This record gives sequence, C-alpha cells and structure tokens, in this order.
Amino acid sequence: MLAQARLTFRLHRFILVSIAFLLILASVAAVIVAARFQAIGLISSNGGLECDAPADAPINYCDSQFSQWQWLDGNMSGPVLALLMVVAPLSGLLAGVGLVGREIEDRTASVAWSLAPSRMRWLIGRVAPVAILLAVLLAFAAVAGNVLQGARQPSIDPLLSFDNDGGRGPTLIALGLVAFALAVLMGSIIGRVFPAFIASAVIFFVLIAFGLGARWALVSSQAVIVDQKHWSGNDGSIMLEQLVRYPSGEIGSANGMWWGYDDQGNLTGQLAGSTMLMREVPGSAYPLVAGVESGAMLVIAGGFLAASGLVVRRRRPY
Amino acid sequence: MTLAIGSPPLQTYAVSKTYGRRFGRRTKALRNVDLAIPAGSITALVGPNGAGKSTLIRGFVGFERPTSGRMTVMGIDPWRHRGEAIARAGYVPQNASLYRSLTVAQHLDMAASLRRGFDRTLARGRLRQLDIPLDRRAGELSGGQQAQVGLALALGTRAEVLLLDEPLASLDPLARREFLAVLVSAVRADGSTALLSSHVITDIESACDRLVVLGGGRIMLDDTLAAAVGSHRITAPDERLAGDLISTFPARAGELKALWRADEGGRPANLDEVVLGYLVSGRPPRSERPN
Ligand SMILES: Nc1ncnc2c1ncn2[C@@H]1O[C@H](COP(=O)(O)OP(=O)(O)O)[C@@H](O)[C@H]1O
Ligand SMILES: [Mg+2]
Repeated sequence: MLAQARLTFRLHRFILVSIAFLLILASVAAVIVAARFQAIGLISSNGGLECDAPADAPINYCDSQFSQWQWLDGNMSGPVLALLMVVAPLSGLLAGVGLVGREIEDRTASVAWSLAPSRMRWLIGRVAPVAILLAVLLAFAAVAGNVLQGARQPSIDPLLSFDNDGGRGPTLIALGLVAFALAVLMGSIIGRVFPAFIASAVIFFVLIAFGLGARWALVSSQAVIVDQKHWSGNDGSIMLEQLVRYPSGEIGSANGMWWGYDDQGNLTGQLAGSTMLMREVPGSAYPLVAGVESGAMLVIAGGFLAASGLVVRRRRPY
Repeated sequence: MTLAIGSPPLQTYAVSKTYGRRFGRRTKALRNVDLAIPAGSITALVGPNGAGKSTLIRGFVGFERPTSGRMTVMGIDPWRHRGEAIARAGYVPQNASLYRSLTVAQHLDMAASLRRGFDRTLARGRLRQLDIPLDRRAGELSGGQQAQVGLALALGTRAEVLLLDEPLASLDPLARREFLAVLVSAVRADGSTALLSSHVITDIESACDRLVVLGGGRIMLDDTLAAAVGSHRITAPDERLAGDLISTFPARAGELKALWRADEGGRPANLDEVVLGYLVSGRPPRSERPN
C-alpha cells in the first residue's frame, strides 16, 4: 500500500504540488489577515468592539483604529474567505480528475490493469493517498477560515456563527472532497482529463444549486422568533423576516401598516401595543447545520467513489 | 517444458466480437474464432491492420467481452473471473503504454505493488543485460527500450501465458531481433506459452513455432510454422497442381502467383507467400476448417 501511495504521489506530483500551493496560499492569506485584525488591537466587549487607547495616544487614535478595522473587513476578509470557498472545490476537481482519467487517456491503465488481478486495489491505491492529502490540506484551509472569521468578529465564536460559513469549517472540507470524488467518477467514466474536468465542474455547480435548496429547508427548520429588542443583527444568525405580535397575542406581518416609535421606543400608529419580532436562525444552530451538510456531502462523496469503483471494474482501460 | 494437462493454455470456442452494437455502426472484429494454443509454444498471430488481433488478445486479459462464444486462459474465463485469469497472464499492450514520468525502476516497483509474486530481480536482470538504465524515465527511453520494459513487466509476472500485442511494430530490425531473443529465452526457461501478434512477418520465423493467420476477423490458417511452410507450393497463376488452390495473389513487381496446398510441383512457398495467399483467399482453407 505504501509503495502504491508513493507511486501515486510521484505520478500526480505536478497537480498535487499545485493544489497544495493553492490551498496553503489561501490558508496563509487568511491567517495573515486574521493577524492584521489582531494587530489593530480592538477588543471585543458586549458583542461589539472597543478601542482602548493608550494614555499617550493621539486624539484621533481610536477613529483611526476603527477605520483600519473597517477597511480590512471591507476589503480583505470577504475576498479571502471567498477565495477559500473557490479554491477548495477547485483543488478537489483538479486532484480527482486525473487519477483514473489520465491513466485511461494515456493508456497506462492497460498496463496497470493487466498487472493487477484486482482493479479495486489499484483504485484504492490511487484514490486513498490523494484523498488523505487533500483532506489534510483542506483541514488547514478550514481552520484558517475559522481563524479569520473569529478575528473579524472577535465577540462571536465562529463555531456558533453562520457568517461566511461556506469558506471555512467542516463545510469547506466537505465541498473539496465531494468535488474530488465527483471528478474521480467523471474521469473514470469519460476517460479523458479535460472533458472530465469540464463535466465535473458543471455537475458540481448543478449539485450545489440543488444542495442549497435542500440546505435552506434544513436551515429554516431551525428558525426561532425573538423580540427585536434583543436582536443585534450582527451575531452570526441568519435573519429571515420581521414579524409583529399584535396586542391580541397573534403573530403576523407588519406589511401594509403605518407605524412608528415613540420616545420610549414603543410602537405607535396601527401597531400601537404590538411588539416587533424577528424570525431568525440563531448562530447556535450552526453546528447542527454544518454537521448535517458536511455529513451529507461526505456520504455523496462516498457514493461517487463507490460508483467509480463500479465503473473501473467494468470499463475498458482505453 | 510443461506438458499440457487438460485444456490448452489459451483457447477460444466460436468466439465472435461485434463492436458498436449499441450505436449502430457495427464492426465484426472476430467471427467464429476457434483456437487452441498448445502449452510451451510461441504463436505468431498475423494479420493486416483491423484483422482483429488486438480484439482477440484483449479478450484474453478480460478487456473485451466476446459477443458470443467463450474463451479461456488456463481454463479460466477471463471475462467472468478476470482476476484469476489476469493472475495467470502477462500482457504487453499495443504501443508500450508506460508511465512517461516514472523511471524504469519505479515501473518495476509498481508492478510489484500490484501483482503478488512479481519477480523484480528477474525483470531487473533482463533490463540490465540490455543496458537499459533503471533510473531513466520511461519517456526518455527509445521505442525499443520502452518495448523491452513492457516485456520485462510481463515476464516479471512469471505468468504461465504471455500475450503480446504488436510488440515489434515500432522497433528497428536490430531491436526486433533483440526483443524476440529475450522472449524466446524467457519462454523456454519458464515453460510458458506466448501469443504474439504482428502485422509484419519479418523476423517471426526465427522466434515462433506456430502461426495463426487472422483476416477480417476469421482464422485463415492455424498450424505449426514448419507445416504451414512445408505443405504449400507456389506456381504461376495458370499452372495446375494436385492439391488445393488457396488463392492467386499479386506478388512483388505486380506479377501474379498461385498458392497451393500441395506436396509437390511448383516451388516451395515461403512464409510471406503463405500468409499473403491466405489473406487474399478471404476464406478459411477447406481442408483445415470444416464448415
Ligand atoms: N473499441 C472499439 N470500438 C469499435 N470498433 C473497434 C474497437 N476496437 C477495434 N475496433 C474495430 O474492430 C476491428 C478489429 O480491430 P483490432 O482488433 O484492433 O484489429 P488489429 O489489432 O488486428 O489491427 C477494426 O475494424 C477496428 O476498427
Ligand atoms: Mg491491433
């Protein structure tokens, strides 16, 4: 098995080094941005940020710290987290597509499959080492994403927040692995690297589109209704809709009503005596959602790999 | 030399193969092929491009499934029990299909990791004898050296059956002879059985002891090399001999010759003429193959 792994790394060295470079680069970028947030030195307090100016600081010290923070968050964290979200599945596709596809295209499968009494063993010798390497690299990226998210919102645990959840955490690992497994399957079926890459990329996007639909059903099933007074809007939750509890106790919408607030912050007009509510998915639901969606993607990835096994077992090596 | 106990190492029973059955453009690559390759022999499978040589050989390694009929490797059906059949066969595909980026030594490592009992020492020894550098990448070897590496991989399996698909096609005359010499000595040493396809017959005479001529997916001739050459005569097209006229075929310089299955008259045929005569005949010889 070890000899097989060594040969697999050797054979696919170029692409594996490339994706390692991509993933490490993106992870390092995330960690650097996180470090820059920390270097600015704002501290979290009561769900927000606080500036603690040193005694000898210039008068506009805190303004400058806040604006640096805002610039960093506005220009760096979004792109870096988006980069992670793109690089993870891209790496998976690149790593997977050639494992079987290139051997069929180059006809080396003819030699390998005539030597190997079991094509399954051959396939495992190709897929397992690359899958493990990819998972480790993706894990780095996933952690780096969490670190960045934690740095840009220091008062919120990134593991209890939906913010940027596609670019970090278990979801990122699962996205990369499902793309990898899909690419292995398409490479096995098509037997040509480039067409298989295009096909896997297209199918991946279609699957993600369907997956987002299913995910939304799961996410909204976790929704709760909270008093708007206790709702900060920037706490890692997902806001779904604004609701009203009428004086009758009935809950409904504020659409089409005229209303305002008095000095004490109570509702006036048609909504006098009512309470503003918010339907949201709290950040505390993130572990469940991330766990379920990653688990589902891993199951699908396993299915793709099993299907690759069936294809490899049945198809011609050319 | 091993004795054939039970069935011959390679056998086919009425094997036919039709490609493209699902997509309309049907190609009949093999038609009703009956073959029995005896143990310890080196058989040349000769025929023009498209005759079905690769299809037949790939059938023996379980890469192609016969449309009808049955084939066996050491008595095992390679389609139904591919693993077991593969474990008894060494295969050299058409166009040495090596990993360009792997060194020769890494190819041997790969073979050893895939095939239990792969004899790395034997393979390494054979390659050393040929002065093929083990640390050179396959992509940087000459065509002849690549073919030798492919052969060494097949021989290293120490399989009972060797299947070689046009291994000589891209080799110069010297490399061809060297390749065949290695093959012959290995087969003699191990008592294995070899089937080697070729669309040219140069050099085959010295190495092989049996000849199978395949044309249009049919077996045209299946005999020992000595009998194939010894039992045929050549005459001018208008001459008559006491025997079977196989065909009248154009020889070099455009003149026509007739190939006869006969014991006397005319002049003895050579291997080229026998093969060409049978290929032109487009039919299996009546005397050899009933129905
Ligand atoms: N995979 C395939 N699909 C369709 N036709 C094929 C395939 N492989 C071979 N053929 C056709 O079958 C016939 C025999 O091919 P092949 O066995 O490769 O002949 P040879 O090796 O003697 O040149 C040819 O007409 C070829 O075009
Ligand atoms: Mg061929």
